[in-house]
Amino acid sequence: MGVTEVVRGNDLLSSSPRQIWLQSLWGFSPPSYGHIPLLAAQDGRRLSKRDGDLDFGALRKNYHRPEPLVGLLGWLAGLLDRPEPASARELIPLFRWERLPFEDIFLPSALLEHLQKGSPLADLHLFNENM
Amino acid sequence: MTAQILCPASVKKALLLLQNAGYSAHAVGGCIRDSLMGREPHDWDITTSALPGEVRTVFAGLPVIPTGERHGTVTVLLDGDPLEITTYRTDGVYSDSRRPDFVSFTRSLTDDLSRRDFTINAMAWAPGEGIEDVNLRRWLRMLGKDAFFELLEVKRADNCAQNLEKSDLRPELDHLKRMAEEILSRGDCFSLDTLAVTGQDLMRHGIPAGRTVGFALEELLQQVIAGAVPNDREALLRRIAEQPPYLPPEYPRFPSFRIRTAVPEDLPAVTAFWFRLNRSFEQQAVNPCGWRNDFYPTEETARKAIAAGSLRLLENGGILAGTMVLGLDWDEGGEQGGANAPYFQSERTEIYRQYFSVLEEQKLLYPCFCSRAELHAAEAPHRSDGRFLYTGRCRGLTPDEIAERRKSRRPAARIRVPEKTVSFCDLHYGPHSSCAGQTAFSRTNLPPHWMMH
Repeated sequence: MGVTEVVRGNDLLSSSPRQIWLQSLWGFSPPSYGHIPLLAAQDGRRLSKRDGDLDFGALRKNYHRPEPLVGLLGWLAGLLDRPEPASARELIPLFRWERLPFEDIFLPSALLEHLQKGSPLADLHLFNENM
Repeated sequence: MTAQILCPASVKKALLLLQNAGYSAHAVGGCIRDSLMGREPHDWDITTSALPGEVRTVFAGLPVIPTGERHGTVTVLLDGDPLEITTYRTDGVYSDSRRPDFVSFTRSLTDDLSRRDFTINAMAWAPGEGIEDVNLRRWLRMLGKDAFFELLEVKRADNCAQNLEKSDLRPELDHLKRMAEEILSRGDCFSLDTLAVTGQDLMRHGIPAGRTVGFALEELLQQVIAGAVPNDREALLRRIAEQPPYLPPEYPRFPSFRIRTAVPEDLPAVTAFWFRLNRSFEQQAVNPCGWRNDFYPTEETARKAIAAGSLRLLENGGILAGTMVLGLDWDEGGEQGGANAPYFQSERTEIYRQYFSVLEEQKLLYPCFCSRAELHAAEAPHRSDGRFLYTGRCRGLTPDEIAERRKSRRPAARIRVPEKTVSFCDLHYGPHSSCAGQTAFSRTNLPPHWMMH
C-alpha cells in the first residue's frame, strides 16, 4: 500500500479499527496511526471549514504569509513558548508527541475575533492568562 | 556584554531592500564572528530567501554581476560596494571540498544555517535584531541548554585536536559560551512570560491596547536581552514612559502576490487553472483561493461567481497561483509524482475496482437505497459528535426487495463489517481497542464510481 504512518484528527480515532480490519481483508499490513487533538471554539464546537470567515482565504488575506499562522498553531500545540512566526520546517525539530495535549484545543472567542480582524499575532500572549 | 554590529550603510540598505520586498535577508558568517569579537568586519555575506532571479528583480537598475548563479550567488554593486548575495540553500556533496556538486535552494534560514559549520558561521543578523537574541536563543531553544554546551565542547575539542593556528576557533567558542551562560543567568530572555511587566501593566500605564502593547512588550524584551534595561518592573515602566513604543509595519508581504476579485476576462485562466489543480486540492481537502465552502469549482460555477463578484484570485506576478496552504509541502505525490503513482483519485479508478471486487467476492457488500435525506432524517440516530449513524435499514433486504428497488434507484455499496474487536496502539492516545463493526454504521465513504449497478 506504501503508506506507513497516518496522522490525522482525533475525530477519526474511532474509524481506525474499521479501516485496519479492511486493510487486513486486502492483505495490507496496517500503518501506524497517530491522532491529534482538534481545534475547537470555546463552546466546544469543532472549528472547521464551516467557519467561513476563518477559512484560509480570509486568513491569507489578513496575514499574507503562512509563518504567523504556523507559529500560532505551533504555540497552541505546545511546540513554541509564544506565537512567533515560524515555518513548518522550523517546527519539525521541536515536535514531540508528548508535547501535544490530549484534549481538543479550545480557542477563546476573543482569539477567534482577533483572527477574523486580522490583528497581529504578536499580541496573542495577552490571551495567555485566559487560556 | 552586548556585541555591536558595525554594519556598513550599503549592507544595511541591501538587507532592508530585500526585507521590504517580502523576503527574509540576513548578514551571515564572518562579519558576525568579527562583530562578536569586537573586531571590525571586512567580509559581508548576505543570505536571503529570494532566488537569484528574484534578487535581480529587487535590485533592478543596479549593476549586477552573476558571480555564481548556479550556486545562488549574485553580486550587486550598491553605492559602490560589491555585495555578494546568496540564496538560502542546502548543499549536496563537495567533491573538491570547495564547491558543492549540486545545491538546492530553500526558503528557510534554519535550513541554510544547518549546512554551515556549527555556531559562529551559522550566525545570522538582520537590522533590528539583537545578535544574541537571534542566534543564541535560536540555538539554545532548538538544541536545549545541555546539548548546546556539549556541542561547544565537542567543537572546542575538535579544534584543539586539529591544532591549526590559522583557524583557532577556541577564543570564539569560549566567548560564545560566556555569552550563552550570561543569557541563561539572566534567565529572562527566552520569552515574554518571564518579562517583569505584562501587557496589563502597560495598558494601565496608558499604552493603547492591542497591537501597540504587543510590540511594546516585544521591544522591552529585546532591550532586556540586549542588556539596555534590567528586567525590573519599575525600570521597564520608566523606560516605556521615556521611549514611547514604536509601531512597526505589518508583516511583510510578497509584493508579487496579490488578491483581487476576478473579472469575466479571467474565466479561461480560472478554468484551466482549476482543471489542473482541482484534483490535487480536492484530495487534500484544502480551500486555497477562498472559494465558498459549498462551491465546487467548475467552469459554470466560476462563471457565476465572477458574475456575482464573489470570486477572488491569488496572483503571483500576474500569473494565477494556487500556492501551498500554510507552507506545507509533500515529499511525494501531488503534482510532483513518485514511485506510487498515480496519486490523483480520478486516475486510480482501476485500482479501486480491483479492491472492490475482492470485497464483492467475499460477499461483504450489500446495496443501500437510502437517499441522503433519509440518512439525515430527524429520526436518524446521532453520535455524540453529531455525526449520523446508519440505521441498518437496507442490511436485511431480500433479493426480491433489492430487485424491486433497483428499478427506481441506483444503490450505493455498503460493507458488512463483522463484530470483531480490533486493537492498535495510537502514537498519541496509546492502546485503543474497539469493535470494528460497531463503528461501521455510518455511511462508508466510497467514491462515486463505487456505486453498484
